[in-house]
Amino acid sequence: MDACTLILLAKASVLETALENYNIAVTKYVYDEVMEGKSKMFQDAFLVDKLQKENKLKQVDSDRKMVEKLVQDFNMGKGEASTIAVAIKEKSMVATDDKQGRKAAKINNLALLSSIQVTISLYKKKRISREKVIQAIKILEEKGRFEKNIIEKALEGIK
Amino acid sequence: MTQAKFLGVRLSENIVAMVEQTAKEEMINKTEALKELIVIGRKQLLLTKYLNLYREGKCSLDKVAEATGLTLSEVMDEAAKAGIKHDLTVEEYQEGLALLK
Repeated sequence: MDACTLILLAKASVLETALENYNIAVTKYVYDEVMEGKSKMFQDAFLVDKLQKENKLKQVDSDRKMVEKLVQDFNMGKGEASTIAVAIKEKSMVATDDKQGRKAAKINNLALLSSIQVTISLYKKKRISREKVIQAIKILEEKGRFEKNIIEKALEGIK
Repeated sequence: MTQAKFLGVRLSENIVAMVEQTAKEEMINKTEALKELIVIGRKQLLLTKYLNLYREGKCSLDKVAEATGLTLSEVMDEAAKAGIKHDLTVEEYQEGLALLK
């Protein structure tokens, strides 16, 4: 999972539930990108830090050479590049809300997810309440910049 | 602390007025006001430039953060303010949901 998705799920108050229900891992670079928010007192950064200290957020290593290549090829930061690098190596799904990350994932034939699908699936699996999912969708609409048609689909899916 | 250097520049009257107005509003001298405006202006210039690159699919959001000195969370907010939408399509949304079933 990249830092954008991690931040969005934290802002939508569903990150902890997502970590309990899915096998989610982040790289050190992703964790560091989110931690920069602590200097600005961002709540999402403190939550991610807490979850990491409680061993609820798994950290994985990334291949340095592969990260450097992705940084160069796609003009990415190391957080995004390392997320893609791990997914390529592990042949795993990648959760990213970054356009460039999504592009790199598609080129590398990786199965792709975003914060809104993780959120809706938690509701469908009855891990979060209807009230909570509606609140989360509102936050994702604003902070995640999702198009109206995606938000409508998400709301249809929770009827 | 970086050593100060002298830089001679010619400024138009409206820019001088802008510097004077900033100095007055912020209760600082004109040199400080000019420095502040340059730093803020540079940051804004980089943000606009890199957000445009992101919009065009030429860099990632964490690259924008790296280039501007903002946190990723701030960059995400700036992208929202700039009206840059998520590129997820309905088909991709449904495919992703199916993966999590």
